[in-house]
Amino acid sequence: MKMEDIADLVVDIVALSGGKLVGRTRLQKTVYLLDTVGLKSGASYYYYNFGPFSDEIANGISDSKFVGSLHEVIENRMSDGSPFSIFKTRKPVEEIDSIGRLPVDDVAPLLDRFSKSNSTVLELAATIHWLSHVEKVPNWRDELVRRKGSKTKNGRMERAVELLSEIGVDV
Amino acid sequence: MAIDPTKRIRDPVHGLIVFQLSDEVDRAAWELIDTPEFQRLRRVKQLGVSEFTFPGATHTRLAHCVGVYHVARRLMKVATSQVRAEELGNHRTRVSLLAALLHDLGHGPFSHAFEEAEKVRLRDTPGLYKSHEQWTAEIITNPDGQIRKILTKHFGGSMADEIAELLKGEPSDLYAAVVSSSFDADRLDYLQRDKLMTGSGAGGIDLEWLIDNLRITSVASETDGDLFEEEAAPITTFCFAEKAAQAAEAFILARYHLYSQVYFHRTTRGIEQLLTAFLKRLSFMVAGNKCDEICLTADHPLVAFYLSKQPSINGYLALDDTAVWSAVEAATRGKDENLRDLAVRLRDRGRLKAIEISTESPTDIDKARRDFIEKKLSAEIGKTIFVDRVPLTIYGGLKAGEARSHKRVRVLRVGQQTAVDITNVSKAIASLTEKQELLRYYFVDENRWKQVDAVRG
Repeated sequence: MKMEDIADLVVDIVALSGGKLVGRTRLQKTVYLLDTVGLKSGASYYYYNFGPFSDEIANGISDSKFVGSLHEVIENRMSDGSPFSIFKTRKPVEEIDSIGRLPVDDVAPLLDRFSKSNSTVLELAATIHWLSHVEKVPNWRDELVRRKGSKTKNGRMERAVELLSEIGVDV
Repeated sequence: MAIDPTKRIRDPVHGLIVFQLSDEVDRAAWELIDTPEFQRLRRVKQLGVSEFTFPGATHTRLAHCVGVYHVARRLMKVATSQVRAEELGNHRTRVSLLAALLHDLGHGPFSHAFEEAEKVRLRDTPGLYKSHEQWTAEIITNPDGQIRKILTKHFGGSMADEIAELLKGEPSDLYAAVVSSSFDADRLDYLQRDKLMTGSGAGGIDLEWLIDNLRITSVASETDGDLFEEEAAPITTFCFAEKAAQAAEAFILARYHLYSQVYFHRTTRGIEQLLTAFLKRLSFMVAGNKCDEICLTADHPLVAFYLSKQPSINGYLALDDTAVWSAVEAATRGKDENLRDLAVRLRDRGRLKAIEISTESPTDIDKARRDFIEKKLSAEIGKTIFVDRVPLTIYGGLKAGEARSHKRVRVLRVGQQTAVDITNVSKAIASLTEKQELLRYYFVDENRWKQVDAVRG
């Protein structure tokens, strides 16, 4: 898959998410999780601050902003004023038949499921997959706690495992 | 009265750095500095090829790490002075200070250029690529290494693992904040050191005022906007009292300007592109058993490293700037024309012509030039045209675009309990929040550059 394909793919994901998707971490982890179920985005990943990360996806976001198919708006969180990104597109969903190798009818329920989890749970789910399938860490639970610390608390790790199970990813 | 035995290092940034040998942490630190793992950093320049642009920037990662340890001791005193005595964690203090000293052990030669070449070399085998942070953790915990041996001797068997975990994990307490936060010891050293050694006028920092106004706060570890209804995971980190809001603003701008004017300098990044291309080509030749064509033998550290898909710690520790430069010198005599050209350019500072595209507010010319390169010259990209994409944010260069929560600068307003992000009190910083990107194309063939330069839309 070429760079412009990843840029298109990013826009399509935002379009299918209701034309709006909150957060760069959420966008990165959404593509990664879709890749675990057969998207074949062509992006390559390595482990970075928030878990598996792809330069190609980051570039895809920039490219689609450059050509005007994606818009980034900065808003501030109510609790502490931290800024975060909101991605928007006006691309009509009717123009989208498939995303990568996945038909739209398969992707839409997955995006709906992801929208019900906060981005930390998506980050944990992607990281769990990375640890168990890519790094092949035998005790990924302990390693996840070591790397993610307090983010794994309050039932978040369990919710991430549940999410992976629901989308058919075995850990 | 007996005088405490001390060891001293003269440092251009901090003056005299004293190690009190009666202090268990200083004593261990002094021993750690003398290990082969730490001494390797004397052969790795802090700013890689920045010396091609700023000839004075020849300082080493060793000097930086010693400086970080010095600053960490100072920050720790300020931080722990705000905690009740019964809540102090002496052991966590030791872990944090030694983590500060050892935090850069895993940097390879010419860190950025080397890591970019590694990503390409290992692209088809996910999970094999290791960042310098991962190498650092492995070097510290290496059962056969000197670092673990010294840490175990002074503090017991778990110390190496605890330091590696602090460096690898998400920081959550004030001890971790000394090593990784908006105002950590690493930043406080490199911003001052790099400014001094490059001779750059960018990046003035009101350090004493900032340290005097340093406070501790609890913040949500999440970064996106969607905290949902659940309780956010809290972490303890640094913030500044409101009196230091403008100094904090200047601190961020200083960092931003150092990134844009020094670290991301067009010439420096161009030389990095050459070096990355050189290392990619070299690894390709080695993988193809063509060592004789590049005048290097299999026992050369760089060749030995590239011969192994999963290099050992010892193989990695054998790499330093000298290994790279000796490979460059050898390649200037080699048969491979492509590698020879890159090596000669690196040796003689043969700069590449560049075209810069504005991504924030692209003009018609920007769009036409980019379109021309991506469509008409796409076959040459990666071979004779190198694409450099650098994310630039108020927190420096960030791949993810969003600073981790503990890395954000926050201000505690008078009478408030919760510190707020500095973008709420500084319009200057708020205006720079959206991620920017520097996009540059570097051309080996000057005629190609002229062709693109002539494109006017």
